Amino acid sequence: MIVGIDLGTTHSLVAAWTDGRPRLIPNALGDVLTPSCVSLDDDGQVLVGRAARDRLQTHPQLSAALFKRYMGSGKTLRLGSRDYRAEELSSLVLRSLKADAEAALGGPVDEAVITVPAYFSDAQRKATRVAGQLAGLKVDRLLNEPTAAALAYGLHQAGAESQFLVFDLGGGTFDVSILEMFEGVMEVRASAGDNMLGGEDFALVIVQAFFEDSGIDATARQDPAFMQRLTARAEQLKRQLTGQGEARFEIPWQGQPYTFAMDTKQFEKRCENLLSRLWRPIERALRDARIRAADLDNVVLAGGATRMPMVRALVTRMFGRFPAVTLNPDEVVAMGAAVQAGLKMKDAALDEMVMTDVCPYTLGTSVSRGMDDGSLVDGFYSPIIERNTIVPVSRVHRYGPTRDGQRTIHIAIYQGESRMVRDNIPLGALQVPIAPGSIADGAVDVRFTYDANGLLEVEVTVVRTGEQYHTVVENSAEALSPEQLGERLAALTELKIHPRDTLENRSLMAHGERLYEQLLGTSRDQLGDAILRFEQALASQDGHVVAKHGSALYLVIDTLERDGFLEPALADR
Amino acid sequence: MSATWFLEQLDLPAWADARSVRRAYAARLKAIDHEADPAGFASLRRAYEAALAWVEHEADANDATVADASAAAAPTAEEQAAMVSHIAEAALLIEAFVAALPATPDRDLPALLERTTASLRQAYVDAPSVFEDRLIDVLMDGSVQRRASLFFAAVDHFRWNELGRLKELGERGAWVDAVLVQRLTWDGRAAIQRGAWTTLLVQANRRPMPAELVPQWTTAEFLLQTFPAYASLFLDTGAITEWKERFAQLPDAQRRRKKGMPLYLVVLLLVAAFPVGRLLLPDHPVATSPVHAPPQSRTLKLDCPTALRYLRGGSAPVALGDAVMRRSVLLVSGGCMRSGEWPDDLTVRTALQRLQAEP
Repeated sequence: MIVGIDLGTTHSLVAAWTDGRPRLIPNALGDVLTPSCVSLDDDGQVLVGRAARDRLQTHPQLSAALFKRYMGSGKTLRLGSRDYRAEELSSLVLRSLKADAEAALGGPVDEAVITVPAYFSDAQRKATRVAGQLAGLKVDRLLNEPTAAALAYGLHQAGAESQFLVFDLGGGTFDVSILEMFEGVMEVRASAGDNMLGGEDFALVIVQAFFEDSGIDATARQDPAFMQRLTARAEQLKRQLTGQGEARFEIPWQGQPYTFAMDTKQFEKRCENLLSRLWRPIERALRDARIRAADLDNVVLAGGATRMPMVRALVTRMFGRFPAVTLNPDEVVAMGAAVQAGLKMKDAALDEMVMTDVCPYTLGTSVSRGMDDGSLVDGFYSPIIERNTIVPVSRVHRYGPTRDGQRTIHIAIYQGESRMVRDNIPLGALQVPIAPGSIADGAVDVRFTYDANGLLEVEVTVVRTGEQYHTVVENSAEALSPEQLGERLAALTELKIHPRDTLENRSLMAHGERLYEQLLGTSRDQLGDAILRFEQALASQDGHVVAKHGSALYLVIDTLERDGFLEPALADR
Repeated sequence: MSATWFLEQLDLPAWADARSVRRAYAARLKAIDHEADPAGFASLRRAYEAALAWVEHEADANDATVADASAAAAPTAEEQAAMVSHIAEAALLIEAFVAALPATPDRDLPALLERTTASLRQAYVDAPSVFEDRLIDVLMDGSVQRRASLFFAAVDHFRWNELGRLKELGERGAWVDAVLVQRLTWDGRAAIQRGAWTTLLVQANRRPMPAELVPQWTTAEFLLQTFPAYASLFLDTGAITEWKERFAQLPDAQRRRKKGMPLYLVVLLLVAAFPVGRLLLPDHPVATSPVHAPPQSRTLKLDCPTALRYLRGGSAPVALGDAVMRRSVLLVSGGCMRSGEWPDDLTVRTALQRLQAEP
């Protein structure tokens, strides 16, 4: 069975193609959205999802979130006694989703289609694939997130001819794709994006404003537990501003309460810079697709951040129309991944559907160029595959040495849109020996092959001898060698994921513990009491007792949260 | 292979339209596994794209004869009026930008560009690109001041360094390309030389032009020939003409002497020109009379050892004031450091930093 997985910055989802349609699979807590958070429990077991998100605030040293932002960078996050790469943390999320899918489908799941932001680089894509491998999932197919959203949307529009734009603002990334649909063919015409712009950045604007306005000491930034609590409050405030004109919160630090209030106008003002960054990818995608905004038949929203009223207003203004909201923006990417899984399994229901995608960025090499004054300047970018070329694609260009008698040619591989390679992203390099001779003798053919998953292969042929070279020296800090991969896999296999059947109890406990840290006075005692009883019940391992004290604890938490005790300002409403 | 091989490959008749081309392509695409058969897909794609281009071309040719039939789709008078007002609004915004330039310090230029583009986006969809064209025009014709700063702010704002961007801009893009390429050649020259050139050009924008600069027109002329688009960005409107005319009025002897001037003299002259330039500025009314560079300063060579002695706490030569010496030392420091004549150690670096920090 192949499943579709949306491995998101803040949330992840898993879906399957069953009975001729995509179906979202709930996790052990019954939610389809699993927070992309990982935490090490006190007994060394791994917690994934809501419990881990709660523990971010109570045990920041043992918990991690937003690691998708570090995919392919080689950066590590420390959890307890060990450093983890983003691939490893993602693999733990994937393992948990895999278990959910297996429980729901009643059979083994060994393969997945995983979605990635269209603008993810080669290194980021490879890291995503490694994450799948580490989780015991074969990942033959990576799918671009806006393309996935388009697949889910296109499924409902079968037969219609149209041009539409997918506006995908997720937790950490922004992607735009323009698609054309005809005769069951979904063709991506152009994609563009910003890898470092997402809903999280809007929450950070609130955190920043809090430090400016609340009068709190800047050293509070060094307190990880406080920062996690503050980020959670900022996120909550951001959500509240979606439904109301003004919101506030109170947060204690070192025994002192700090209050913060913001209205939608102030929020929008502070987000101006972020909003203006949404324009460029859209303008570029339209230009590359050679389509005017007025010619689009529809605009499809994907990603939770598109719920923000200011983003919707901007989209409406940009395209002079209200965007399509028939599909849930949080779920549409996972649904599309399931459609792709169905396509991959050659499901009969999808016989009449084909999807072609593009390479969203230009790939090329570095060359020298002769100047007017006779000097040779190097560092110019020579594109081999131009951005928004339909994939799979294979292109070859011929290059030569810069002087007679040269013995090797250095083929550096870059991704990016700048005319100078110093402003592009280096992907790796090859040294190709050539027989010293004249410039014409040293010519080499450089072939770039880009597959449907967005992975690049480079092949260099020395024209005179026909010798071929493939080995690309990767940017070693960023990719794992096969040996390293084996070690990491062995280390990760030893980590036990918290069993699904008791996860609900564990999550309830983590939730209670998080609230406990925020409370003061009698309600704190009341909650502490309920937690203690639940703990004892768990120790007794008596199902009835556990259930009884579990629902008692749930009731206490629910009452405390509902009464707005945590949000004194909200209670005034 | 026939001229319409793509029609044969897609099994289409000569009167095929775009719709039938798409249908034929879709049917063949479904019959293959395009991800597993890249070669088959590439061949199909080539035929499809060629066929689409061909039918569009045919359709255009037909449109010309039936142009009247499309009159129904023409915009109504109201729509046209609305469009005209948008265009007028955008034009006003663009002129407001040009008017705001003199009062905008360099560091605020990116924000000004961003604000203008943001307002234009609200006017109508193509307004930002009209703005881009207009901006290149004023950069080319020199009708604004401080063009170099504006140019480089615009490179970042409009992403002129990106592939393909300049091609879209036609002739204007070719000019931007020329500036960028000339700048690369310029950057290939020794830092000390570039520094001297830039200073020379920037100084020449002072009004009136400092008399000491006039004989250096030969250097400026050389720069304007070698880096025509790039070097002229640094000179404000009228500076070139004035410089050239005043140089022509110089006595013959003075003009000849300056030809082939060694680099260090350029540096020294510049150095000498500094205080003069300042004294002549209208906002320095204390100036009593134009001061000419003392003759001995031209014969004094500021070599690396002398500069190093000064840097290490020596006093300035009599002919040059301390402020002048400070600037000259800073000017030659890069070259001396790179050539290895100065030790690249902490004491030298600290001394340089201290010198830079002085008012």
